[in-house]
Parts: sequence; structure tokens; C-alpha cells
Amino acid sequence: MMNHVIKLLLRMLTSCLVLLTVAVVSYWVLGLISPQQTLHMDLGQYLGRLLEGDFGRSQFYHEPNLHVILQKLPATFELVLVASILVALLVLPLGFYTAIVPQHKLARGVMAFSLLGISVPVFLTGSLMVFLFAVELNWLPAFGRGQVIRLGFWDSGLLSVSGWQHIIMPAVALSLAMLPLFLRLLRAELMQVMNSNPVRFAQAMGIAPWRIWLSYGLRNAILPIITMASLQLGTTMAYTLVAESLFQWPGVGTLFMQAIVRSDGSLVAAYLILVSAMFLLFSALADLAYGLFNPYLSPWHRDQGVASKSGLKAP
Amino acid sequence: MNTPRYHGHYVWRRYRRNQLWLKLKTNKVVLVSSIVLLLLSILALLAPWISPFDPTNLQQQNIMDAELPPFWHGQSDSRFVLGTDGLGRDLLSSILYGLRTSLWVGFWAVAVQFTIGTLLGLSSGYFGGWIDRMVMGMADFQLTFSSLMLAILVLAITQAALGAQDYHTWSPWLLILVLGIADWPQYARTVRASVLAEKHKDYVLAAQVLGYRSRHIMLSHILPNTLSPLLVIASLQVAYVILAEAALSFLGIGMPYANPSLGGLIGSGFEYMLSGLWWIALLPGLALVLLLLSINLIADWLRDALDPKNIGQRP
Amino acid sequence: MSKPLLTVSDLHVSFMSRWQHEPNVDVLRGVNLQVRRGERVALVGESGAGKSLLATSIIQLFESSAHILKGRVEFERQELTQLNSKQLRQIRGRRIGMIFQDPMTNLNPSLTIEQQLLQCILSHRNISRKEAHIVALHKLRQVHIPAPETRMQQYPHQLSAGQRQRATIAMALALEPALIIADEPTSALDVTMQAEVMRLLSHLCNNNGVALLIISHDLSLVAHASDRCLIMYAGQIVEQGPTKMLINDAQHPYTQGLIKALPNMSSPGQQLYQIPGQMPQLQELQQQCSFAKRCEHAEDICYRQAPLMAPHGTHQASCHILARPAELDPDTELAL
Repeated sequence: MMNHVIKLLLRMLTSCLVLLTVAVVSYWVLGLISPQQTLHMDLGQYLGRLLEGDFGRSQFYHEPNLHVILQKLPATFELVLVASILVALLVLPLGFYTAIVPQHKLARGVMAFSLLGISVPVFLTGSLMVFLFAVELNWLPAFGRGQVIRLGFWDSGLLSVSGWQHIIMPAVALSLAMLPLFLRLLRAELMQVMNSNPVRFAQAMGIAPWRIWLSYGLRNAILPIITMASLQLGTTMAYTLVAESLFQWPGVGTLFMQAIVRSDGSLVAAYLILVSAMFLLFSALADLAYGLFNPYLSPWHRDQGVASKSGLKAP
Repeated sequence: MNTPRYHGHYVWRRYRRNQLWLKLKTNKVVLVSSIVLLLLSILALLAPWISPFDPTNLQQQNIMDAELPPFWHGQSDSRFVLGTDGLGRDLLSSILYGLRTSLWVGFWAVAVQFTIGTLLGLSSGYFGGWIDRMVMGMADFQLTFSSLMLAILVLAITQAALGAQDYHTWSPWLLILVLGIADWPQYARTVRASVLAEKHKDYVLAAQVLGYRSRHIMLSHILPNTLSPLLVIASLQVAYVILAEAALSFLGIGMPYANPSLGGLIGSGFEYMLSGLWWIALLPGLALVLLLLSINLIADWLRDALDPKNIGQRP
Repeated sequence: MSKPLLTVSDLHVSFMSRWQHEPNVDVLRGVNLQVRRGERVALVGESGAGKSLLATSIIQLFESSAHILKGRVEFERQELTQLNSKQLRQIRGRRIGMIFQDPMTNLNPSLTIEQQLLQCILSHRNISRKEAHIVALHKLRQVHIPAPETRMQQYPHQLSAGQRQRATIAMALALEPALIIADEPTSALDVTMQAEVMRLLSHLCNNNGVALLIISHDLSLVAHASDRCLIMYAGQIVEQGPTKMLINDAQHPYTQGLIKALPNMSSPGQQLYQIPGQMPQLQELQQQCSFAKRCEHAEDICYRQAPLMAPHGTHQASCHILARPAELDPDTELAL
């Protein structure tokens, strides 16, 4: 127990150190892009203001940066949410299907399609979709977020038909970019598990195949997926940014790119800090999830793969 | 001192015994991919000589030639086989130059990554101690942040700081630098793991006893044994870097206009697509997909072919 | 004589080669064996002889590249080679229990002992979880696991090696099968545990009337735990008979070699005997005695024709040359 607490504190300490470094870097960036901002404010003052929650004021919007970013956050969040749900819904059935009967024509087709998926960048799929569905067929809108309904502080686009019409293409494009990676990983993991000793033992005991697939296959495939998901956080952010740019989705990604074009140094600096903080938070959550599913390791031993210890990877 | 490279020689013989060539010849899909890649590379290499026009020469472009469709359309111009873009630039030439850019950036960035990663990984594994801790600490840090996201942030900020004009004079080199530095950790980790495994083997001890310099031992004796996984990573990274460069150019923070990039062409062609002029964005897109697909297929195959567990199995 | 519980007749199993120009590897080349109800049979041979493959072939659990070429496996009047997977699943675990070599790599590391026991029990019996829990507890007690209630809630990595193997024995016995096949059950344990676990296994089977097929490379280990013994070499049974008689009066040169190779208590300090040569690569075997190359008594006919199993003295062996009785000193104490 004490061990856990110490590890937790260490983790928080390293996160704070990382944030501190990012804050220093963002001060430097602020000086690079908008030198006049740093004329009257040195590093110490900058850090002090951050600690008070003052992230500066956007030169373009003339509003507090925190406010501006938080306003655009729901858009990005909903986009990533819908895309993630799509991936989660598809990866499990497809993963199991292609692992159980890899020789089926459809299974082979799915794998070929996933190879195509990593060869077509997200902005190209997006462009194709826009061309097909917006220009040629005129079924879906090409830009923007559609009708947005306010829930307290959150502007949601998921509560209106037009909102869904607008979110569906970007979300599908994003999910198609992330899907192949997870699909191939799940399939490889499942196939490896099914050839392992514990599964053979279970078969020798006459346990039904579906039960084996669930308690051996799924259980042991979940951990590498969580690891992969946390490793892919950064890539997901990058792809989301590109998708937002393509679909002119009013999220934090486009906000950043616009700030760059407008040389809004203050906003850029605030964006750096806030994005890093979010990133660290999600990393920690992923580690927590990993620990939950793993009876072996405490949550903070991310680099010790469970696979090497379990014997499920047959030596 | 003229030291005989026995060990490296032995390793090359091992590659031949692996029947790599036989495996390549029997796998039709990979064979076709290799031919396609070879073809694209030759076209790209010869671009300056075989392109009908010079897309980098802004004087050659005539706005009157803008927006012409490819040759199978009624209103095409026979001079421009694949049509022209919004400013009168020949699309075929742009695509050829774009391929050239992609391969050039891909090659050099991977060369940088490979060199940095391998050298750091070798030193880290061989010397251990504080060098090891420092290098691995940096590697862990970088691995958690995606290289694409880092590249976007660094390059965007640089552009905001330098201003678009100045930025674009330097951007080709910056691209290589940033993409090269962003992804070295993968190589370092793999090499380090191999070095740690090999370090205690007798042939290393023998070399040390004979008084060979550390650098020589690392490069001529240990490195050849760790080459396979590195080659696999490098081949996968080429595709990744090409994709990254395309994404960055699409966003506008990659290659300058005068230096055509497939991603940039897609980006600038996107707007025209909304008016129905699909070829400006989608033909470069097709070229990009062909390039990435062939590289990915070969890299995937290489990974299976070089896997030591698969030696002796049917290709 | 009542019909045997298990009869394996002329079983041929081979591995399909993935290379086009390489031939398939015949691992089991005509295996015949029988196990009677309640009998304890040992199958002894060195690694590579095909013992483990035989074990999994009996319950028709083949890897993707292993194929049964011909032969029959009859168990409780059912022909196992003809059953579909659903029928086989009813036999596996319930009528035939299986114990594998290394419990650490065979137990699911992410399930507790109880969960695994219950999965096994509930797959075959239509009882409530509570009842299954009681059955599981009872079985764990039978294998002498101390504090079974606590142990049940633990994960495999929290148990010692000996306890893990006992847990797998409990799983094998849980449904009270008619036959247990134990593939090298003690090889992953240290020497002090080996004898104890072997004794436990043998004892339990004896008491409950469960037939036992123990597979091992260690003749001395199974000598006291089995009624009958089969010696396997290069995919075939070369000698078989009641254990005591087989050891005291080995006929086949290979068996004699095995016995000679056992450490001998009455003459310490002597160099251990080794059968010269190695078991041949299974691809190399043709129509000849598979042991011929290493046999010191080999003659011409041994290289030209494969010998058949025939009775020699108190048991059966397959050898062209009736070997001279093993030159064992009658006062020799074998380190059994």
C-alpha cells in the first residue's frame, strides 16, 4: 500500500516537472512569436500568473486564452469521442472475426482494407469523402459543426440532426485512420493467445470455445490495446488536428493553426500548456486502466510488459 | 589496423541462407509492390529530366492555363496530360516532383533517425551507467509524445516566429531535421535491447581481450547482429515520414509552394474540388497512396521475412 | 479379460512441412498401446520421441500443422478419431483429464485458481456455482494444498510451483474422469517435489480407480508409480511390459541402454553410461530399425527391415536380435 502511494506521488512529481518544463518552453515561444508580450513580463511573473490560473489574453480574440480554448474544446472532444466509439464498435467484432477465421475471403478482405487504411492519410480519406458525399451526391455538408445546443457550459452538436450530419464525416475519416492499427494489433494478439499453452490446456479440459475466446482471448488482448491506445494519444491528437483543418471543424486544432497564422503568441503559449496538461491526464488515466485489468502489476509499471511474465506468449 | 571483419561477413551469409530472395520471388503481392516502388523511384529520380514542365519555375506558369482537366476530358489541353492546377501549373510535373520530394525527405529523415538512434542505442547499451539512464530517459519522454504532433507543434511555431516567407526558405531542411530527431527513440530502444543481449556473449569478450576499441566492437561486431529489426523499423518509418511530410505540407507548414509536395498539392487542390475540379487534389492523392501502399506492403513482408522465428518456413 | 479403457492402434501422426521441397515429418509412426481401467501406465522416452504429441493426439488436440495420417484411438467404446469437436469436448476434461508439464505456462495468469476450477467444472456439469465451489474445495484438499480457501482466491503466480502443479492435478481430477494423461507432470519441479507429487498422483489414481498414463523421460521416477511401462523411441513403442519386469529384465537394447545410464548407487564415482549417438532426425527414418545406428548389437537385418513387436520373455519388445540378458550385476541397487 505504501508502495502505491509513493509511486503515485512520484508520478505526480514527474508530471509537475514536465508541466514546468512546458511552461518555460511556452514562455520562450511567446517571446519568439510575440516579443512585445514578454517585454514587460519575465519568466517568474509568467509562471506566477500561470499558477494563479491566468493563461494570458489572446491578442486576436481579446479574451482570456483559457476561455477561448475551453469554448472550442467541446467540438474537439465530441469529434474524438464519436470517432473513438466508432473504432471501439468496429475493432472488437472485426478483430475476433479475422482472428478466428483468417482464411475466410471476407476476413482477408478486411485485412487488405486495413493495409490500405494505413496507406491513405486522414486528409485524403477526408477529401475523398467530401468529394463523394458533399460535392457529387450532396448528402452531407462539407464544413462546420451544424446546429449546436447549449447544455450549461457545454455546446453540444450531438443533440441535433444537423449536428450529426456535420460530425459524421470527420468522425468516420478519423476512425478510419485509427482503426487499422488497433485491428491489426487485436488480431495479432488474439492469434498469439489462441496458440498459447493456457488455451491448449483449457481446450484439453473441454472448455467451450466461446468461453475460451472471452476469458483468455479478450482478457489478454485488452492490455496491449490499452498500451497501444496510450501510445497513440499523440498521434490521435495530430490526426484530429489535420481532420479539423480539412473539415474546418471549429475545435482546438483549428484554433491553434489560426493562432499560428495570426501570430497570436499568447494563445499559442496557452495552447501548449493546456494541451500538455490534457495529454498527461489521459496518460495517467490509461495507466490506471492498465492497472485495473492487470492483477500482476501495480498501475505504475507500464514498461514491464505483462506478456513477458505470463507465459501466454509461448517461449 | 586492418582488422578482418569476420563477424559482419558471417552475418551477411546468414541473410543469404535466410533465402530472402526466394521468399521475395514467391510472394506475388510483394513482388508487384517492389516493382511499383522501383518504377516510382525511377520516375521521381528522373523528374527534372522527364517532366514536360518545371513546376518550380514560377515564370513558366500562365494563369490562362489554369484549371484544365486531364487528357480524357473533353476540354483538355494536349500539353498538360493530367491537367493543371488553379494557377496554371502542370499537374503531371508537379506529381513527379512531389514524388521526388517525398522520397527525398523520406530517405534523409530516416537516415538521420537511423544514425542518431543507432549510435545512441549502441552507446547506451554498451556503456551503460549514466549514459544509459540519460538516453533512455529522453527516449521514454519522446516516445510518449507522438512524433507527428511534436513535428506539427515545432514547425508551426517556427513558422509563426520566422514569418511564412523566411520559414519556407528553410522548411525542406527543417522538415528533415525535425522528423529525423522526432523518431530516433525506436531505433535506440531496439538496438539497446540487442546490445544488452549480445554484450555478454563470448565473441564480444574475445574482441575486448584482443584490445579492440569500443567503437570498433560496437560497429563491426555487435551491430551486424542487431540489423534485422532495425531494417524493419527503418522501412516502416519511411512510409511514416512520407505520410508525415504530406500531412505537414497539407497543413501549410511543410514544403513551400515552389517545391511541390504531394500533400501540399492535395491541400491546395482541396478548395478546387468543391467546385468539381477533382483532379487537382485526387490525382496527387492517388500517387501518394501508390507510394505509401507499396512501401507498407514491402515493410510488412520484410518484418515477417526477417523474423527469426520464421526462418525455414514457407514465404 | 475386460475390454481395455483406451486402445491406440497403429497411430501415425505427422507434421506437414510448409516448405514445398521438404518432406513431411512423421513423428508418430505406428504407435500401439492399451490402458486398462484403473491401471497405471508409464510411457518413457527421451525428448523428441513423440511422447507429448502422443498425449495430445489421444484427445485429438492437434496443432495446426499436425495431422493424423491413420490409426485409431478407441476410448470407452467410442472411436475418438471419428468424433466431431462438440463430442470431443464432452470427453475432454470429463472422461479424460490432462496434466501438462509446466503449470506456470498452462494456467491462465489472469484468472484465480477458483475461477479456473469453476470454469472447468461448470463446463461439464449442470450444478450451481455454490456446489461447484464445494467440489473445487474438496478437490484442492485432496491434493493436499494447505489453506485451500485462501489459495483458491489467489492467482497462479502467487502460488509455489509445487502448489500450482497440485492445483492442475485437482483440475484434472475435478470431474472424476476415467483416465488421466499426465505429460511430464514433475519436470518443472525441483527434485524434492518431484517424488512427492508423483506419489500423490499415483496414490490418488489408485484410490479412486482412475487409470493413469504418465509420460516421462525419467525411468527411475515412474518405476514406483506405474504398473506397466512402455518405452518409446523415435515415434514407436519399442518395448512394453510390467514395470518391475521390464526394468529387471530389459530386452530391447535401447531399454538396456536407458537402464545402464541410470545413476548407480552401489558404485559411486563411476562414469555415467551414455547411449552413443543421438536420436535420428525423424525425417531420416526409413524401413529399418530406428535404433540401429546407435545399437551395439546391430546386424545387417537391422538396417534393412523394421522389427515388429513380439513377446520376449516376460514382456514384449521389437528387435531383430533377441538381446542377450542385460549384463546387470544382481547386487546392483538402482537409484530409484
